[in-house]
Amino acid sequence: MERAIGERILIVEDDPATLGWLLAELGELAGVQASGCASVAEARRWLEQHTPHIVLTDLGLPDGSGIEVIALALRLHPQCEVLVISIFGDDTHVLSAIEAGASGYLLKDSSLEHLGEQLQHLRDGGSPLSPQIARTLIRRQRARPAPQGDDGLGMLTERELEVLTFIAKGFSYQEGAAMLGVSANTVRTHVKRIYQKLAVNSRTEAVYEYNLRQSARGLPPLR
Amino acid sequence: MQPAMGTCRSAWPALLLAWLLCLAGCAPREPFGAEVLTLTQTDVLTAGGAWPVPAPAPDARWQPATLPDAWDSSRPDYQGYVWYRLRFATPAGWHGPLALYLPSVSMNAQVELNGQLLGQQGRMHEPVTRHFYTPLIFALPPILLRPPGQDNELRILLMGYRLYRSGLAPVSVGPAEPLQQAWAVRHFWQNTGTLVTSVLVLGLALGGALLWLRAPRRRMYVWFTLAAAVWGLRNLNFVLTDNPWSNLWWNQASLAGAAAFVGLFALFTQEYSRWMQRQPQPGWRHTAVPVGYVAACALLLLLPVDTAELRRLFLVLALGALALAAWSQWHLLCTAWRTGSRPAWAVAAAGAVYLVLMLHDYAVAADRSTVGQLFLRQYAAVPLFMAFTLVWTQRYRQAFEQVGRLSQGLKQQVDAQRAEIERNVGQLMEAERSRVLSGERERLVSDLHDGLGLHLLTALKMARDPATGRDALAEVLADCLDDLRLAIDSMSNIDERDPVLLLASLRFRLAPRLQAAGVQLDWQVVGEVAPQPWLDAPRALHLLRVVQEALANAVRHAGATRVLLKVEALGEGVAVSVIDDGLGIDQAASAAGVGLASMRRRAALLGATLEVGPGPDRGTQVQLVLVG
Repeated sequence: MERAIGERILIVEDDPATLGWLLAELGELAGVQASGCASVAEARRWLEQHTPHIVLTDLGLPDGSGIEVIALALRLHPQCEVLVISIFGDDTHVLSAIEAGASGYLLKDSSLEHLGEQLQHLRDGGSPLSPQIARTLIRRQRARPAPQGDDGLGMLTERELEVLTFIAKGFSYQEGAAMLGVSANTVRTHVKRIYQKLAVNSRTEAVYEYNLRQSARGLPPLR
Repeated sequence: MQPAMGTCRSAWPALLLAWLLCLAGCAPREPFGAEVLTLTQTDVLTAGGAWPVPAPAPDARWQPATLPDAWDSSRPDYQGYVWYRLRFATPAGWHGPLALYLPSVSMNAQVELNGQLLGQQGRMHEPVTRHFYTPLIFALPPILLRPPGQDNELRILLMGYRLYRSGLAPVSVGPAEPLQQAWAVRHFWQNTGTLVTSVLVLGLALGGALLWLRAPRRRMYVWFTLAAAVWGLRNLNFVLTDNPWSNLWWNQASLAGAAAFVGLFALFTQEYSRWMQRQPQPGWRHTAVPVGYVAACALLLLLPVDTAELRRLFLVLALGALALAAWSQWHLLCTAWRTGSRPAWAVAAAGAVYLVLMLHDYAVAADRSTVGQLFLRQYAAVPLFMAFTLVWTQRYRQAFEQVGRLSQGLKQQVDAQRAEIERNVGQLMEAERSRVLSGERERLVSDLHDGLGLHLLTALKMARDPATGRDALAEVLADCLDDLRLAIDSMSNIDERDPVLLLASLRFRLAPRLQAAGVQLDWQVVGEVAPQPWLDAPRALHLLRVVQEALANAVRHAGATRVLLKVEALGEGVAVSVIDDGLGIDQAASAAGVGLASMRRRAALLGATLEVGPGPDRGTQVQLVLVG
């Protein structure tokens, strides 16, 4: 990768083989300092002592769920990005992980090339949304009552719904952008907003609690 | 609730006793001590019926008489004014405020002392204020009295009616305090207490009316409500001093009301005793006599009756009332005896009190030689009120308990039935689940066997063969993963049954990989594709396999660089096409032979038609038409 990532990355994965190749692959990226944990307890200890920029976590861990790791990481380090390690990237577990505050997912079968690409995706607009997840989001949005007052944080805009609709129909970002008459980057921005809205509750909550702790210690709060 | 009721039961006889003692003990305390002069010797002068009554002429012929002077015996059927003249010497020992007390002045009186008017209460002329059952008391200014030892002359002008037990009772003069006390006691028992009983009885009428509204077919409540209403209104006769009707008509109404009450109460007791003994309501035949009696009482109100007839009628009604009251009492006693219920005994006891007091009142009415006695019948309202409160409290409690028991039973029944239904549904679901599971298991096993197993076997063989390249092995293993992925996809579509979503997921997953291999996977959705109810997990898997096979053929064997996956609405059905820009069917066919055979087999299993032919420009078009 031309661009140095320059970040501290924690990988929480109980399968030694996967953990091994992820550590090896990420270690090769310039400026990346990767550490591995195999359980929630181990991750907790690590997180209490270190400040990661990125956390990659499997969902099925021997002593609990990866959701716990997500919550823990966001509580201790609200500014870090959390990715879920998934085989396929579109099952409903990924959705609940995103709602818990994860910014996306990392495919387990990724090659080194793909790894860099996916981390880049993360910066551009989160992981690609699968049709299945888009469909679920649309259905959920329709079931939700109209927001009262101006507290529409979690509500999706018409445009975002349009983006979700073409994704649910199987079109790529480029195809969708052409259909909507915008650029692919605009679509990516919408997807990023969708991700943020999905995670907004757990994120704001985490930031709020973090700021409480900061002010208790007399430290400046996070924006 | 139980202990409270128990207390109520044991307290009931004690309450009745206390009430009787109270009645006996609080009777007016007359005569008085020696300081009070009670005058019985008088002179009378009949003054006619015209108002204003002139002062008696000096030569008027006064007749000596003795108090009480009951007009029913001294001047029967007289109606008008009579002067009474009483003389008394001023005693030496009178100090402080003095009073003149007239215990009975039916209907009304005006009083003068030594030629000075002391006063009158209400009107002395028509309509005369009805003080026939109200004691009167006047302040006696000492300044009007002659010096001690000298005679004073007290003149009382009395207005009397026939049929009102008119007359004058002995008159008392003296210190105000004992006289006021005596007046207060008498006023309480004759007026205030009577008003209280009227209110109680009208309250009972209201309660009965409410019960009747809840159970309109229960005549018992009708009789009870009517009886109580008639009785309560009738007793106001003793209390109301001014009324809108003529005094004679009021007397008639009062008489009819008292009698009607007895008839209505008899009707009620008949229904009540059957109700208590859980017998059907009596037929009209059984109630003819009391109903007739009540009707006669009502008719009495409409008849213009002169005095003599009214007296005779009164006698007939009184005899009828006695008979009916005795009959009612018999019913009440029998009911209490048969049911043994305490409320029933309470009602019977209250009825007995009524009967006794009624006899007492009849005796008073029959005694035409005196005036000023108390009528007591209305006080039977107190024990009756208590008894019926007890009856309905108990009924309410029983109903309450019964409802509790019923709802308990109902709840148990419902619970049992729900448990039964749940068990049945559970069994059905269990059967269905095991049927589905075994079907799924078979499918999964054969699927793993044919698909993933085969691929893995291939991979194993290749891995053992030193000549195998890493890329080839990786490709087979990627196929394994695809197979697994297809199986999962086919399962996750179970709820939606939407071919677009199913194939869109496939495209989403494969497009990046094909892109990486230099193949562009285009995607097209034509028309509104409806969900396909038949597209269950096994069929979804077949569909995915066919499409995957076609894509694999295009990429691997036909050397295509661009593949179009098209989903098209076809009426209610759907057509799925894979169109590539590769070598075309003829050149590719030999290599794709096995794949084509498996696609045809799956299409047959799907009930779909599979067409494989040349594409629109070049290359190959595989079209699967699914109509369900």
